[in-house]
Amino acid sequence: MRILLVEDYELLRDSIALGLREAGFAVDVAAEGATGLWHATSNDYDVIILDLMLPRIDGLSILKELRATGKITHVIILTAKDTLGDRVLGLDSGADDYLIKPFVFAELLARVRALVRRKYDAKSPLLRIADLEIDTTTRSARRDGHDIKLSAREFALIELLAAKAGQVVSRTEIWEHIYEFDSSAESNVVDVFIRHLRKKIERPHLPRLIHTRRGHGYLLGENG
Amino acid sequence: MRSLRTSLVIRTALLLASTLSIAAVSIYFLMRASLISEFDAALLVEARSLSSHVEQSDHEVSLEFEVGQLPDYARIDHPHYFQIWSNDGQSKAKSQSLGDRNLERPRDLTDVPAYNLATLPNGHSGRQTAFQFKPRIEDEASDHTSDEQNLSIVVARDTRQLDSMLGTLAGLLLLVTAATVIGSVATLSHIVAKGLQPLNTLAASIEGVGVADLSERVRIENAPHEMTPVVQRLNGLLNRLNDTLAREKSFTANVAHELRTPLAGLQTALEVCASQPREQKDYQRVIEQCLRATGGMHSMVENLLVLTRADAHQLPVEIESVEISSLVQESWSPFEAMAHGKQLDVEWVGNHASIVQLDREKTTLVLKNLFENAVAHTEKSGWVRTTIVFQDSRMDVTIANNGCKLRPADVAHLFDRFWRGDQARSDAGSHCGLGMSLCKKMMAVLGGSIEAQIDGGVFSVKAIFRTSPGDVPGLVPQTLDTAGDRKRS
Repeated sequence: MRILLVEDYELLRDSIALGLREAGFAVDVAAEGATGLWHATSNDYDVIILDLMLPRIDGLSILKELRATGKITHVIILTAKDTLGDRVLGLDSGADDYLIKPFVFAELLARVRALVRRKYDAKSPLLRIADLEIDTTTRSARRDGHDIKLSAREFALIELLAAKAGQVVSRTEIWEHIYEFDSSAESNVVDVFIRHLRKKIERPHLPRLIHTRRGHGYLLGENG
Repeated sequence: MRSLRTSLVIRTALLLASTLSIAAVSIYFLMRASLISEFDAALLVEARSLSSHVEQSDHEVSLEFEVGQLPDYARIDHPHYFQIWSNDGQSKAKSQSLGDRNLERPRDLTDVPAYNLATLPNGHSGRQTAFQFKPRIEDEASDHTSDEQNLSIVVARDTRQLDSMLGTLAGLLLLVTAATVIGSVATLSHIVAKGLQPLNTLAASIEGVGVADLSERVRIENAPHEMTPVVQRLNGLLNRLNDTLAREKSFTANVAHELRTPLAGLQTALEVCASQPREQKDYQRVIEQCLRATGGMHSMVENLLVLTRADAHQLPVEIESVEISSLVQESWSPFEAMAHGKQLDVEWVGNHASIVQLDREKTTLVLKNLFENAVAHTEKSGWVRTTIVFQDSRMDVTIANNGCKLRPADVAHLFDRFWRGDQARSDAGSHCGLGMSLCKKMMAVLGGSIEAQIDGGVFSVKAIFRTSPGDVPGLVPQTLDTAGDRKRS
């Protein structure tokens, strides 16, 4: 899943980005408002983490501009502004969540995961496709009762396919949700990761779950 | 603690009682003197009347009337008394009321009547008058002048009626005084209570002013004229308190707000770092980042402490001889690398070799802040120009830079604490909106001034330092010929 983090304080920005990446998210970062707005309107993020007091364009202006252009990306406001008025204004301006600094990183992570689930209409952190179980909280996967060891990127890929189970997910969409903006990955990297994922998930005696739709993309489901 | 009402009533009652008592006593004694005077006059009339009826023929003294014919001098109950003596002290006549007793004949009598208190033969107290007189000569044709003798007369009456009257008068005055005092105390108590009612209203109104919210004002309907200034002063005090409270609240909120972001950065960095085992270099990187963050926070806290000390007048000015070139170098050097990195055109105008008397530490603090702002807010390849001019006993330092994004109207807020033209917290701590307010405070402490100007994208700030010439010969400050003393770095 791909996250945009707009935060001007370097230490906080770097730390959140590192924590999110280690949690399996692809993270784009922006240190000021104008760049943040450009990223937010140019890409399809699962969640945007937005500071309010930003250089050049403040967070609320970004949020309003985003909503004005029809973008429905889930937004968490992350700010030092803690008054009731600030919170009401932030939520009324189109934010989906509001977290006050300082915060516990685990809470931010949980809120990000909750918004990702909401985006894909998943009420439970446990996704089940046939005999494949994906726990988005513990970042673990099991099939037929056996644990499957996945890298962060492989988990992100299976999580995206599971979130859109039964639907064809294009290579572009996979790219956009798995890789960061400044990634220098090769163009066939999605196919490579799909191949790795199949090796870990598919079993000869079990039904095939990852299906290829030539010219369209990939589909996760029991019935390909 | 005695109440104002009780105190007022007691004091007024005491004053009233004293005044009335003095008045009553005065009235009593005036009346007493008047009544005694009338009593004595009546005694004298009686005595004169009796003496006019005393005749002398040859050497005999006789009365023209029978003593028994005078009923006042004969009755048993409260009788009048008189007695007449010859010069040799022989009693010539006396009232029937005396019987065998005698009145006491005063010595050294003259023809001027004397009055005095006396104890009458019946044991009652009374007053008597006594004087000498010459009896009427029965045979006026003969010459008896040589035989004419002086007689003495004493007439006395008891003062029962007079005493009774004076007693009644005293009782009446006492009663009136007491009744007046008691009535006055009751009335006064009511009047004072009513008069002090606005104080109770004021107290209730003051009580209505909240501890946390001082926006309420003291109001008294139909306040007496005397209380208007009190209410006005109280509301003035509340205004000042409210302003101070608002400033304190804003200041505390700003401080808390400014610390939240670096705190969040520290906490997140440490949490993420501790979430899994890492290589040594990763820990080292996080530690360095955290140290930079705490350095920024330290800088902000230091600035706040300096401001607080300046507000509390705890920053003494320490004057010393300072060479301007070293002062400028010391202030500029922390930002030289940044200016070089941004490829800024840095221009110096003025005679930096001068030596003047000023507070080195505080002047450096001001210049560092101004240089830091200039370098930080000038875009790449921009310019920064520092001009130093000496005039009389002052040193004007003007630092200007281009690429200013502030509006001219922002100058009004430039020196407010925690104000920033841009809401960014990109470098929390060192750029938290305290620098310019700190400069202004320092300039006030140094007895100088500071002003800023924004014109056509050029920001310039002019700090005017009060100085005196230094004590190094040959390096006396002078007005600069800027054209001849200009350099670039």
